[in-house]
Amino acid sequence: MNVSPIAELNRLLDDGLSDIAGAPNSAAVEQLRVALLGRQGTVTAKLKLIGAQPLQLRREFGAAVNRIRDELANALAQRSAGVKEEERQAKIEAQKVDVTLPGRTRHAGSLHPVSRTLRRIEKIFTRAGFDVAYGPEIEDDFHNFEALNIPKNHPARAMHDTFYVSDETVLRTHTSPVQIRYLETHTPPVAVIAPGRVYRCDSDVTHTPMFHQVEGLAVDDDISFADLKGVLVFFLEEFFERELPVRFRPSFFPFTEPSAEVDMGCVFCEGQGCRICGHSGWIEVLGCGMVHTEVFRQVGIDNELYTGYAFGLGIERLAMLRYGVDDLRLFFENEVSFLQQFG
Amino acid sequence: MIISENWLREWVEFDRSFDSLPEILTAAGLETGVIEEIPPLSRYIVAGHIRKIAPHPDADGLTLCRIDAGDSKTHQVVCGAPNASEGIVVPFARSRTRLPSGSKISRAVIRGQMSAGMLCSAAELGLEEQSSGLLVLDPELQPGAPLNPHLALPDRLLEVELTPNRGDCLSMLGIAREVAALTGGSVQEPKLSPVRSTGSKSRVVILDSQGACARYVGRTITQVQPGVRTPDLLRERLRRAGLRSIDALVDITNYVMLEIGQPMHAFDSNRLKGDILVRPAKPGERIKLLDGERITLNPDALVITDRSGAVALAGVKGGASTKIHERTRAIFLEAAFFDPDGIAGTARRYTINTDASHRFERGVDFQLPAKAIERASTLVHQICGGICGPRVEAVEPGRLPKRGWVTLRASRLERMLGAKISNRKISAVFAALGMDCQSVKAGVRVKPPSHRFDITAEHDLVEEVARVIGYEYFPLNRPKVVASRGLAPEGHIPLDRVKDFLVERGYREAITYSFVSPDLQRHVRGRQSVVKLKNPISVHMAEMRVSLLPGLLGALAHNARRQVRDIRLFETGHVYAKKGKKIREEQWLGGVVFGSAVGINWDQGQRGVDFFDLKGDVEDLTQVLQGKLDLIYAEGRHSAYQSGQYAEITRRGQTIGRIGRISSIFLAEFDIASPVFGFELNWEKLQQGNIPQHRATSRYPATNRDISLIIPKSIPSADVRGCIESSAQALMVSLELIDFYEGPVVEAQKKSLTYRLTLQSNSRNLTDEEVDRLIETVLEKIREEVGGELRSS
Repeated sequence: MNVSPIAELNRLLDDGLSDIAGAPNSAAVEQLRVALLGRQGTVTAKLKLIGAQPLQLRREFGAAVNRIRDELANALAQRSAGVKEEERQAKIEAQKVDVTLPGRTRHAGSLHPVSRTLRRIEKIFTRAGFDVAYGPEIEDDFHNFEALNIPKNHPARAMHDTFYVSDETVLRTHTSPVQIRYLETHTPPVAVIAPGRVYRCDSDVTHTPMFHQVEGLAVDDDISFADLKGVLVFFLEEFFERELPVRFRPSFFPFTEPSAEVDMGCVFCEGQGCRICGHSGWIEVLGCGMVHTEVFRQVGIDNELYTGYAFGLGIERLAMLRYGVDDLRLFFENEVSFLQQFG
Repeated sequence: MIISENWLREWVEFDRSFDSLPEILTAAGLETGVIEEIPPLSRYIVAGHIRKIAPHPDADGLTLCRIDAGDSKTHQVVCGAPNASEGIVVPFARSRTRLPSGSKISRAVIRGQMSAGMLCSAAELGLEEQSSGLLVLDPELQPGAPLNPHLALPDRLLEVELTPNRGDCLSMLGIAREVAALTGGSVQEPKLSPVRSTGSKSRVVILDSQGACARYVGRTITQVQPGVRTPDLLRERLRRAGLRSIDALVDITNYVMLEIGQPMHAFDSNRLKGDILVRPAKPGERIKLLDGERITLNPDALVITDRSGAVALAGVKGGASTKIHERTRAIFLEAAFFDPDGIAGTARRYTINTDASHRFERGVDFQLPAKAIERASTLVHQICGGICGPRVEAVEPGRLPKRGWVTLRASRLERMLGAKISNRKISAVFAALGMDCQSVKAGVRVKPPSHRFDITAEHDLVEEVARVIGYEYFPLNRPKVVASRGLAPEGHIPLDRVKDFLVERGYREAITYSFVSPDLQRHVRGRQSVVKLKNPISVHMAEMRVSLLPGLLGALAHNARRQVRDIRLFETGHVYAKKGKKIREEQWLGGVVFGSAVGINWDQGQRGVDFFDLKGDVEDLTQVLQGKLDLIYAEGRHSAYQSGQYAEITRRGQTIGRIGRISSIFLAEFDIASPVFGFELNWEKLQQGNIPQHRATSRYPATNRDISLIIPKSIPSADVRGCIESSAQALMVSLELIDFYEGPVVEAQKKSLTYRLTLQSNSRNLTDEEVDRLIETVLEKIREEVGGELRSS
């Protein structure tokens, strides 16, 4: 029995559509495209037969072949997009990770709390126009004592518990000698801070034989005690990020006069009195004063032309207050469990 | 200086409460602590006379005391104190009394014996921290007498911490003067009836001290009653001031010192031979001090001598040979003015600090000795009896301290303090302080009194005005910002930048002591001369470090002992060495690592840290210093490091650092067995970085060539690199090692290195032939210089 060419075309279409619908992946889709619409494809072959059809059939046959080709091309395109999407989804599924697994970290270390505190101190003072200077830790007697108006037998030397390298050479007991060194090489006006290690021959629950201080010095032709008060209140408020009651009380340092010790309202009890402030509501944070005339004389600065102030503060002390560290010795034991808290 | 309220109020009238004194005194520069209360005793604690004493029949160590408490009957009290004895007077707490500690006394049967109360120690009365035995009271005290007035109770104590410039406040009189000045009160000296000097016993005093002792006042008192006990009130006052009672005569000299600030000494006059001569010690002169210590003196010490030699170290401590003892019948009292500087020197040189030297080195009123002798004589006479000889005095008026006028300009005061203060106000300050003050054109002039040693120049007066008016009176100027010169050069890398880098790399910053143990230092010192401390705190902290390693390894070991597994530590700080006579300090940067290379993780496995982990850190660190630094790592030897895994780091021919595996011998000092790697960098030489200079980048394509080489194992890769760099110079953009192999595939004693060489010209496209020619030149050089060849594969 002879099947009509049109019916044959329709079967080709039906078979083609069902094959396309069943194509599992883009490779199969591509294969079908070649098999149907490719150069050697069955539909292409039919296209070539249009001219061979009897004239009365030719138009009908031609239209049918073209329709089939378009339908199949459409179906192929759709199926192709479909499997591509499926494949993409499958790939995504395959690439899925457990996002809750920990990342590959390089655990950061930590800055020592003394460094951390010092950075803040330096920043506050440099923003206020201070330079930063350094000096030797092994000092001569002149810079550590004599030039600071602490002659040989002065009772103030007893307050210093000095480490000696030789009769004339000591581990500096404070950062104040940097005042002298700076004034030996700079002419006023000056404003400088000098941080560093200092040493006292003393070791118990509240003393370590080494600790850190920051010295401050400003010299100009119009500096008064009022400037000293201002700069220190500014510093404390910046450092503790709040307004604080600050008290200046007379004290004695051989290299300043008038001298003052500075107390601030206890940050732990808000001045109510607690163990840390000795129930006084005040915490001593630094010493300061107007540069002593003898110090200026030692470095050749005219006392009638210039006045100045100086201050010294303990970095560990500020760190203890800031971070709630209650034992000075922790700073030098370098236990990871301690250090890691200051990241 | 501990101040008793009762005692202070004998010396000054002021209409402020005692509670306000801490604030008033602190605000004027006399730092005080908090007030300590000594509460009154219950009125049921009275003087009890022990009339009879018998052993407890049923208990060893306990006694039965019959107590007369002034009422009709005697009371039996069971007592365990070893010093309970018949005839003494002790505090008797009747039953139903509370002790200051709060514990209640009640009638009790102790081991079958009735006890009607308790006999008390000083501690039980709240007078002492700790006591042994009963508090023995004045025998004159009537049975049943109340104890509160007798013991000056209640009382309050205030500790004043005095700065070294205020030696004048080391007495009741001194504090009274300050309180009067600050409160508008007035000093009132308790009157003592003067003694009549009826005796004739005297002693010649000769000064031969070049002014070290410009005044010496003395008095002989004979026929004193030996072994008299110190009255309770005196004893209590000494105790509250922190002094122990020794015997009546010594206690009296201490009491006068606490009252008016004049240190005194009492010699046993019968043991003093001949005249008193105050002179510098002879070289090598020896003296045995009161406490038995023997010291050898130099002429810089001043001594009190008699015919037999030194009998006291002047102003510091008395001698043993003339010490007061329980049979002393005649004394010679001393009150003198010693030069502060001389005493300070002596106390420091012989490290003897006494209440006397503490005062003398701060300056004691040179007008005080006669008054002190009078007060002490009166007290001796009252308590121990005796006949006073004439008061003798040797003085060199020209050598006493001078008190001249000091001018205070109102303008200077304003300039220093930032506020104008009227002359009237200034004068009021000095009037309150009891100083002569006159108005002059520029301001005022002031003559400081003989008790003040801290007022010699204008600035001292500025301070007096400021502290008396109060620091809070002066204004506060907010800082005005002045542009400051001297920003660090851009080429200098801030240390903080490197610290941050190391922190990001997982290092924790440590701060270790600058002094280390010589035992550890010997591993790192090499031939360096180390700086030693003369007075280290311990032998383990006796030398200034020449390297950061001992401290860092100590910190690492400390953590390792605490089971910390992966440790990376770094430190920056000075190291110190002697260069001839000079001491050289340099800032170094160092680190140590221990444990795993990557830390605990879930997918990379575990690997112990090795040389190249550390070297990578150091290389990256030096990259931070603005671009590549021209550092050379060369195999070397160092006692702290293991050879074969140690490199010396040099820059421009100078050694600037070390890196490597720490030697096991060194690690054994710290009890560490696992490998530890460390680096040390001389920050001062490293800090000098480069300021970037821009160069135009080439627009022509770059060409990569990988070159695999086989070279002898002994040739450092740096040499190979050097060959390539020097022969490829102009066109080379980068040279990376991309493979390294040692093992069975290559010959023994050989290793394989593969480099990726990137070439580029600034002016043209490179042709293949050109590149081939260049590679040939490179290989030629490698063959010639390091005996390497291209790997055939």
